[in-house]
Amino acid sequence: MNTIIAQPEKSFKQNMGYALRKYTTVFHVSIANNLAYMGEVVFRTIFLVVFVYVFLQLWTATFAAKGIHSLSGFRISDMVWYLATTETIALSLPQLTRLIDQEVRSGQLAYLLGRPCSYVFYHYAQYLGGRLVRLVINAAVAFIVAMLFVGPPPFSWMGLLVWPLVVFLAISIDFAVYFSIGLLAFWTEETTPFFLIVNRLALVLGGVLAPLEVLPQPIRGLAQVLPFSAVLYGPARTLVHFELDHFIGLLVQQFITLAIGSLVLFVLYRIATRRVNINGG
Amino acid sequence: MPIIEVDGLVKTFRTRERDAGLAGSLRSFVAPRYREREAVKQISFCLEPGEVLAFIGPNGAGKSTTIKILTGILYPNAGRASVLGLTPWQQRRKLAFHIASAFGQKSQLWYHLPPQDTFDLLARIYELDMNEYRKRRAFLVDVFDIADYIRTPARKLSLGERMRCELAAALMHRPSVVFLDEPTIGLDVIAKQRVRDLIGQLNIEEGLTVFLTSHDAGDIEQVCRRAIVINHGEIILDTPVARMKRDYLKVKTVDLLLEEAATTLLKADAESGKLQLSIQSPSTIHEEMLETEGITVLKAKGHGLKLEIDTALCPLEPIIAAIMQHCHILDMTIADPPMEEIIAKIYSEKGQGGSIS
Repeated sequence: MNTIIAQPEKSFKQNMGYALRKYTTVFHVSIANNLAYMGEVVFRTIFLVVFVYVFLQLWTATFAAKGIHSLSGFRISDMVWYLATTETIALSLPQLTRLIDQEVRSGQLAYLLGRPCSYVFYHYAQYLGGRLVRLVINAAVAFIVAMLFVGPPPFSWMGLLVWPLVVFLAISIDFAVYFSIGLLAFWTEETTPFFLIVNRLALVLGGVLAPLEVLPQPIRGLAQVLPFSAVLYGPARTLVHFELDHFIGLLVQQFITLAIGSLVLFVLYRIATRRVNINGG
Repeated sequence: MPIIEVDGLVKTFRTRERDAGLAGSLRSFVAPRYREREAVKQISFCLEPGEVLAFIGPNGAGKSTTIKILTGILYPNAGRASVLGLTPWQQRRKLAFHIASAFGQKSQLWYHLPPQDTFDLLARIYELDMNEYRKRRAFLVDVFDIADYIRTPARKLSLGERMRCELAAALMHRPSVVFLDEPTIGLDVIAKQRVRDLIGQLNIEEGLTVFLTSHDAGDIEQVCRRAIVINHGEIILDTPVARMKRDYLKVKTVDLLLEEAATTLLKADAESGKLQLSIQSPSTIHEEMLETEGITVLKAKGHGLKLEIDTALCPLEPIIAAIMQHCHILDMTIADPPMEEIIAKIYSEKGQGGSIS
């Protein structure tokens, strides 16, 4: 069959240039859109303040009761900075699963699927923009709170330098996980239970409350082999207690987790788009 | 060469069935039952470049499914379709550069941002040359008269303003074909008219091919030149709109709120006892009474009067003029027959016993 349209073939380089500009613009627009929620994001940091305060009291009581100054190499101030870091990352997670779920159920994805761009990368860029705004606000509040409670951070220059990289990989893993759960809306009537299970497992086994080193065995061993620690424990540990061996191990863990997560996401997406059953037609 | 060709298109959805009650829910959990529902059954049609087609039918008729197949979002179970010579579900990305869609009940504007930001984003998505884009944006802002609010966050726009911005966004990349799914749904009379005029204007000025679905007979009458009626996934009528108007849209319902009691305009028929309009023809010297053939009084209560007028027998204007000569009209609504009635009539004329919903 002949086509009516005449479209010049683009080189690979041109295509990459266009793609980069597309998703960078989505990223920028998403930042602007999320700045409209500034008040809400700042308000949510109250939770972070309360959390850090409660755990400061808890660690102080625990350390005093045991008569120790450090636990598995972590002093009270390290514990507070660790907690501030994990909470900064954990509380910056946007409602990605709900967004995808609603787009599938409402048929809103018809708009995005009908555009000359990738549905997955469009959402990835949008997600990164939204998460960046939350991360920056959370980090600013967490920094002030931890400074007020326990004084200057124990960060090393190396830890500070590599932290953006490990956080970027961590939130990319989160994207693969929560986007895939959102895609389950193609098959299931409710994705919230899947989200809650994964999210709570990530909080408990990901080391959000305390470094994995302080957990008893066999929970510690289990948490260390599961991918959740690559998102919260790994980046926080890198910032608070930077060790080159640990950092390299974390990078390997993050790359493997991200590769498997992305594979699952794209397989699910490919199957899902073949069985699109958009509501309203 | 047709711009859209559809041949024997079939789309079947598989839906899970659940019996009522707790036992039904448990049974459905243990042994789920599925039902196959044919949303589109072997439909075939062609559309030439520059045509404005109304693709109409009641809820669940298969209109949106057809649009989603033609835009490459849904995969059909059988049949063939080509849009601009491309197979939509196989060449969706390539086709996307040349088509556009706007859904009246869904928005593509970023909720917290002004439409201009969405336009800028779409320029990047559709890989537009930025100088060309700025010219195009200026043209559409002018045509759609949206200069005053392209810098207002989308959430603060009225439905009519938002819809004009949605259409401008859809047309930013100069598509050859635009699929409009219920573009006037929820709009007030003035906003509806505005959207209809704009679609018509762009069809004439840019040769835009329009594929429009709607429940509103007004959209079809005023915008389209050809109508395809679909029901239960089957095409039951494919006809020029002029003929459709003559055959199926001639009866209008006029709802009036009068300053005086409605009974002052009516008299009871001596034989049947039915109420009839009884007023003088407008601007007549010899006090002729208005011919009432084709006028049925549906309801007369207090100051309200509802008439059904067959415009083939009795044009609207003289009737309204005659009523106005007799008393002051406080409010008036003129409505087309509902889609369900039109479809029932098509079936009855074809001698088929099709159902509507």
